[in-house]
Amino acid sequence: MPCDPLLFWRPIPAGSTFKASASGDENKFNVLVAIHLNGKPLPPLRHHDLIPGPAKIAFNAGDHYVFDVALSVFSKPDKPIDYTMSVVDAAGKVVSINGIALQCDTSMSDIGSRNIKVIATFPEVK
Amino acid sequence: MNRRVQLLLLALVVAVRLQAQQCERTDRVLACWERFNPSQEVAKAESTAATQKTVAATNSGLPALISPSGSALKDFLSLLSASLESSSLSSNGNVLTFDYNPPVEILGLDHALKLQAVFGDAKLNSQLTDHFASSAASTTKLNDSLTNTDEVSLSGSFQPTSERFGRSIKPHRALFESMLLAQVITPDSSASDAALSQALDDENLQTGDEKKTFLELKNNDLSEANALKEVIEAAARAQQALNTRVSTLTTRFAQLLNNQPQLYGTALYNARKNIVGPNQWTAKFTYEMGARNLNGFRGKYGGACNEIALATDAAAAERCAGLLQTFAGGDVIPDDRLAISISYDRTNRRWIKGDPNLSGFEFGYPRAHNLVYEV
Repeated sequence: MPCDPLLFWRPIPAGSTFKASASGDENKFNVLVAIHLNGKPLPPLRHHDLIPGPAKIAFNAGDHYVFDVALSVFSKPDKPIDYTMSVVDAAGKVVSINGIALQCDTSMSDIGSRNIKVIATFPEVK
Repeated sequence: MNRRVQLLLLALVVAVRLQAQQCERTDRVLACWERFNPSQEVAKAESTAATQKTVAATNSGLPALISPSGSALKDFLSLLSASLESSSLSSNGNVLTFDYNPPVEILGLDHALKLQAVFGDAKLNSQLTDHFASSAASTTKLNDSLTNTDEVSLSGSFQPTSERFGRSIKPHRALFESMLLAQVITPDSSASDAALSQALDDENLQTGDEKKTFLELKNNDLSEANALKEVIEAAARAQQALNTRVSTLTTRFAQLLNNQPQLYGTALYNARKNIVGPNQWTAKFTYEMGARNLNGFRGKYGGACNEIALATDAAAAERCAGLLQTFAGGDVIPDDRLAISISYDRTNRRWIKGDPNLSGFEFGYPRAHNLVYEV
């Protein structure tokens, strides 16, 4: 499923993990996922974390993540650049909320940039 | 068209634009977001058009490997990447290709050499087919004698990719990522993200709610729907600013990257059976660079704007991103490019006579030399 530019992934169930990866001609593109956790920036997932990936982030109770995906293509690739991300449970199965799978992908086949914002929240245990 | 109609049309255009950049309570949350941050297909078309405007004019390249002297210039970036690190054997129709990137270092660069052997579909020379045009039995016999080793192209090519040469982002990735991160994470974007996240908490919005309208989410309470709309709209505006920063940096970086010097050399030997054609040598060397490139930027600002300095200093990365964009210039940079190309071809002389399969027919190929250069 193609990624919308804004995604609400919440409330994420306990034991879930965020996964992201990208593929394509590495001479021609860069992918980076900037991260805010509870309002504070964290070290990003860099290109080398995501290729071949997947880079993983485990959710903890009370985590409020904002992921900013930035895909940049510098010259026209022979094959599309692909980026995919999801939230999986402990068994590796894609998590669904309200019948919507927390998984999407995007593809670029020409030069330019694309940004996606994901608000992912693991509710506080009360 | 009279003046009144013109003014009316102008007012309409302005109104439509303002409408496009303002959310309504009846908007779905995602639709509000997309008023400022278009979805994939729209964004792709706009982004591509903007970047193509600059990069298309600065493309460069090299000839196709199999026929270095006769092909159009094209981007050669992926030529080596297709078979890096290993040898490969591929079959395409009647052509069998063997690629190998030996793990040798040339001018300090590893895997910069590519060796290729192509076993083609050998065909009888036209002098023979013309001579035996009325003797199908003779041409069939000659055709049957041909094998895939009767038309072989052997080539060696050298294309360095390093910080100073080539169009690959790899040697510049760390520099770019530092600058990019400084565009994505700013005090404003952090504040906006925190406000958006808080609003989603306060409203207890869940997955799928982004497809609902503000009025639906607030049970048709106009005031509350308006308040939620204001929060989402503010975040959408902040994201629009972020997207613009990222897009501008990517475009300018691509301009400079695609203007990097490109060096390419290749030597090709076509070995053919005598009834197929003459043996030929071809050597070609190309060098191309644009006026403003990353080498120039590094030369001018590299003391402060380098991978190591920017890795831990977001403020410096932000400053350097600004310097890079100023250095690159506007949307259309001057097409000041230097391109040098030298090509040498030699055809070996060969005379075929006394072949029992040719029924006394004699023919051959003259010796030929050709030197072409272009600046």
